[in-house]
Amino acid sequence: MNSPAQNKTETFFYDDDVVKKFIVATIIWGLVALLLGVFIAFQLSSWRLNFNLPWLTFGRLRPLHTNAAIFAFGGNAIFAGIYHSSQRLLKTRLYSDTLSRIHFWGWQAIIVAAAITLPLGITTSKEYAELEWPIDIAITLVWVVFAVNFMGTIWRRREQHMYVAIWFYIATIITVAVLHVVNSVEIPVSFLKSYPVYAGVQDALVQWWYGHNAVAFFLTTPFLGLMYYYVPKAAGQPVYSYRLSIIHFWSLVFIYIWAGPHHLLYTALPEWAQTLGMVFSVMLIAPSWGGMINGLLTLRGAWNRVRTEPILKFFVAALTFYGMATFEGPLLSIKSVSALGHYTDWIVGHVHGGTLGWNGFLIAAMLYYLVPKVWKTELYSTRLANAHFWTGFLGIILYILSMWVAGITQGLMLRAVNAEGRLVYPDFVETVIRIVPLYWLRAIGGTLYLIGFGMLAYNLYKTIKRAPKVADEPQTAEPLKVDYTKLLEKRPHRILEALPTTFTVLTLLAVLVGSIIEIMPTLMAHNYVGTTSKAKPYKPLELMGRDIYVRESCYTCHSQMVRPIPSEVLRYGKHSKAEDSMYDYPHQWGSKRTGPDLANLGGKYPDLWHFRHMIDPREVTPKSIMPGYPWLVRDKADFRSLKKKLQVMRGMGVPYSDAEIEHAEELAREQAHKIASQLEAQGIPKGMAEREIVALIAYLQRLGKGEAQ
Amino acid sequence: MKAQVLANFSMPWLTCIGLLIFFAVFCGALAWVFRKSGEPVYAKLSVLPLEEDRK
Repeated sequence: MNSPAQNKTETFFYDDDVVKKFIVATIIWGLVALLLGVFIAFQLSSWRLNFNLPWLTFGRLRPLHTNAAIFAFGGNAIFAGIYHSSQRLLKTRLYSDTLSRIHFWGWQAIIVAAAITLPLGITTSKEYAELEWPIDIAITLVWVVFAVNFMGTIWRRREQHMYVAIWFYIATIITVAVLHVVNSVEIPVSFLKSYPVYAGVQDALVQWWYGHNAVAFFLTTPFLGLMYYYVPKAAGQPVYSYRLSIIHFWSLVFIYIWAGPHHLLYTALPEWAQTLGMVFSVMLIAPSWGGMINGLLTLRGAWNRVRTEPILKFFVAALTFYGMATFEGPLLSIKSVSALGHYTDWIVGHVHGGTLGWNGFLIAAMLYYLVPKVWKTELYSTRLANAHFWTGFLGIILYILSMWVAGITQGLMLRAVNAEGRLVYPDFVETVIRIVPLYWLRAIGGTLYLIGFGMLAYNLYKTIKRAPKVADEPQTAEPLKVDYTKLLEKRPHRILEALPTTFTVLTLLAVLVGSIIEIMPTLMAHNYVGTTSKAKPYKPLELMGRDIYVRESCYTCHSQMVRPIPSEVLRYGKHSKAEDSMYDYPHQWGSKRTGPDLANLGGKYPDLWHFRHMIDPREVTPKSIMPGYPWLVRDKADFRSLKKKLQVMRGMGVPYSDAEIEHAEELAREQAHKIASQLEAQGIPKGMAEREIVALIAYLQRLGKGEAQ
Repeated sequence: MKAQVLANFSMPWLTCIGLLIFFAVFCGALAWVFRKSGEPVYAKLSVLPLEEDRK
């Protein structure tokens, strides 16, 4: 830069203390998240590992695994990388040490709160946003602290231009804020229970707009920013094409936000929104591969070093897995492919190719680079890092191959119809038994990956332990005197890269265009829900049962959405329509069928079947892999909160009468007694009317029976 | 009301215009980014991450 002569050089220090804290948190939470993942993988292989304990059951631990992996492991890693690289790129210390500290401890407190509430069944059941409302507020506050700290750092920068990595960080901060706030609008019923303001099809659309963009703006854009900083650092040469990185940024940010509905193909979501989501998902391959190619070609002329340097190995593998996952994603978004792959383990394989391969390996590369750098020492063992690479790599391969085979096998079995037009495998459990061996293989793959990460933890622990105690090095740079009028005169086309505010607004606009066009019509038009056949609201006892269904996170294994596909209608009955779930706060459409769809479950089996099935599923379905839920027979149902729940529901538009709300408790007890006395007549012990099991049975028997006469 | 409007949507040219606008903006951005005069700026920007190591 042609800086004026009066500028003096300033001396300052980087804040690497908070970077170190986030690094240590990344390693610890990484171990926790992976350990949880391995544990629930073994639970799917052997139901005995659920131990008949509520807080150790798959449904409660699976959300904990995803939250720990994304927000604790991934979150701490991106904060470490963002705080480290931004200070260097902007040539300044972080804006405020206090804000940095609040950010760090606040985020760890949120993680601990998640680790306590989720196993207790305190959940909103919205995938990747399961945390209840007080924690949602805490997340918002900490995120604002992060945003202020980051923007303040930009404001105080000593480097005129913002490198492309900073753009990716800004896009992350504003988009995650928008996603989190819009998706988490909920009405509290009590301190730890709330209902979302969206129901059914609207809730599903908002949820997957959020869910997909959590992948986009929590697991992709920040990691791409880190990639654009750390890959050139590790390779010792600038990025392959800076121009390509600009195109990459804008097209990625603009297109990604539209892709959410590909999670809802063939559902009751309006057709146009499905098509829109599919088209944009397919388009997404272009910017994704542009970024991958840009990253890989940054290593031009340095490929010989990939053989010997574990950091480069991890980067190359991470970028390759990114390319693979972003090819598979658009493929799975094509409606006919989604028809086969959706709800199966293929999706699980796809997700883990992205998270273990792209995010996990990029974090490993970053940590191997960063730890020796900020602790001012050498890596303890390069051989161990290489061993980590190959162990982890083998783990990922076992994981995704087994899940591909499991998903496609089960998908084909479920749709197989013989010449007479009947299902070849009418019992769902037949298709499950077939893929259980692959579940074991997956669990072994996960274990290998965990062992690899354990090597990283040990290696970095040793590295940190032997680090010398040295004082922070002073940095020098000239202060920035931005004269915008002069800049505008001299080079008006450059102003964008120098003006963070304008840039932030433009990014926000790019993100909002897609969000508004896609979501607003569905949110505003209640008419999508057919007016001719209105649904009945849930009876008080059914609502209570529904809350138990939500508490146990049944959606992690059961969908409630029959797609209009012949084999599916043959198996599950009539296909689901928007009005079926119009009073579902939150929707329970689900995204995975480890067990069968439950949309039309009501009346299919007698109450006694459900009673025995919930205590021990294998008593009625031999070889079932579902956990038992014996505590539902022991625990007393919470009748007292029903009045408040109905009131909140009416506030959101569910047509409950005054009498229903006033007598909610009596109505529920009445229905419970009816079910319990019938069960008693069939030999079940007395006193069940007070227990949770009866409420759950009432709800399950109501599924698919919601149409008003 | 809105549902009826959307159901009877018969203005395919409107979506075509939308497509053209997006495509034109994309091509414009592409042309802007790849202008020759940008060369020195991008050259400076792309070495920003490496400055720390070169001191």
